Amino acid sequence: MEGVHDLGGVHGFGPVVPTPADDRPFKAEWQRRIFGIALALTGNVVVKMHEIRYARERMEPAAYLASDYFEQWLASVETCLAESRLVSFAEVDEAAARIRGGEAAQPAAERPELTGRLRAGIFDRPTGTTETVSGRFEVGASVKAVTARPVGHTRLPGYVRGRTGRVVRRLAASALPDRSAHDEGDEPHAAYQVEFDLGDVWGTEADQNATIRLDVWDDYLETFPSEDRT
Amino acid sequence: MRRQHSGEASPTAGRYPVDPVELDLRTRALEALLIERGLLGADTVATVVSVYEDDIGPLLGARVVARAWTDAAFKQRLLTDAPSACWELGIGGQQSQHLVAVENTEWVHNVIVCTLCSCYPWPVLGVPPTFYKSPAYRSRIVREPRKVLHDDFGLVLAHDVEVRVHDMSGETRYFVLPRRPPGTDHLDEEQLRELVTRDSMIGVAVPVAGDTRGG
Repeated sequence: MEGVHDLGGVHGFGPVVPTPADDRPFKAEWQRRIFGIALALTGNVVVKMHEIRYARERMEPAAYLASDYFEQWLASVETCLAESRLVSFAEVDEAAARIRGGEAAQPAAERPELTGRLRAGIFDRPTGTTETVSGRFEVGASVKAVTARPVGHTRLPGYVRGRTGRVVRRLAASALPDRSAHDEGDEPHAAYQVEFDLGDVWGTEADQNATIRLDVWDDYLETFPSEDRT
Repeated sequence: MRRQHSGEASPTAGRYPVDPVELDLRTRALEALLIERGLLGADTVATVVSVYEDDIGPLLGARVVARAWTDAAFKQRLLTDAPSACWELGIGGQQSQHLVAVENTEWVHNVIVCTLCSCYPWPVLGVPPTFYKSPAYRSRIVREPRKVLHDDFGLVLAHDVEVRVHDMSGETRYFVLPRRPPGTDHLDEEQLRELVTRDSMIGVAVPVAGDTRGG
């Protein structure tokens, strides 16, 4: 999606303000709440991370830029729950109104098995596969990012579209977000880390001794005319 | 989730941003509804939050770095298979499968970012700091990294040092293995851990001898 979230290279945001070393992750109870909710829903695969990201990208542009980081999380979680028909926006509106009106919270049961499973997932030895599905390119290959700009979810930033780089690493194969976010399949696709010179991306005024490396799925790279069209 | 067509309104049109009172009400409402529907327990949110407030943070990454500085064989294992090396130090979790450590050298300085959202190497660094998530960082670090490091973080890099920015656009979660600072030969692993800052593992700072994390 060609949204405002695709921020690489955008001018106008001013200086970066460093964060103190002892900064705490959460500044308010509501931030803790949405953090816990989002991790629980994605950890238990009620909602996919690819869907959370696409939902966030679908915020109104001005709202995305004006919202607190965790507010973006709330907007994307609500969108995912509404579209999978688990909780509607109206139901949250009504429940919030009742709480605002002074309704006491209902006593609620703990779910030790569900919670325990989630917690274990944060600490367990990972069991994911590192299979490398073979892609078209070897390390060292010159590759060109596609220029297509899809309306759905994608993870190729606009600033490298159409640019030529070099494969520097083969990565573990993984589901292509462009398909997985839209329930079109989670089968693993080949991926690489690709290096681009800053000068090639931004022009002659850019730092000439700097590079950007991105994780790029094989699907984001053009087929060269010399290749077989089989 | 279906694709949104270009002329279609956002599903949250008109709803955001809102003030903190509303955010508090909405999140409480959402949590209550999810508990009611069996998707959360009353203990779930508190448990997950406490893990990231108390257990998982840059102290874990500092242990990995200090071990790599003092044990050459571990360092090699870290650079070739970070998930397994981190597991040796008890660092795990599903996301750790995607960890890759990138080494700073005399000629290359690494820095990480996620321009599209805020992906971050959580298993070794915890929750990302505010600057990392900011539009200013996400937009500028891939375009003028040396300038951002110099102007905003006070980190000066000579022009013959390549600045290498890793944009976490995919599944890999990169973190920086900074260089061991000079003047630290007399320090043991535990003392070296004190020098490894969150920002040095992001790449916007370098560890300095005599400069502990406490500040």
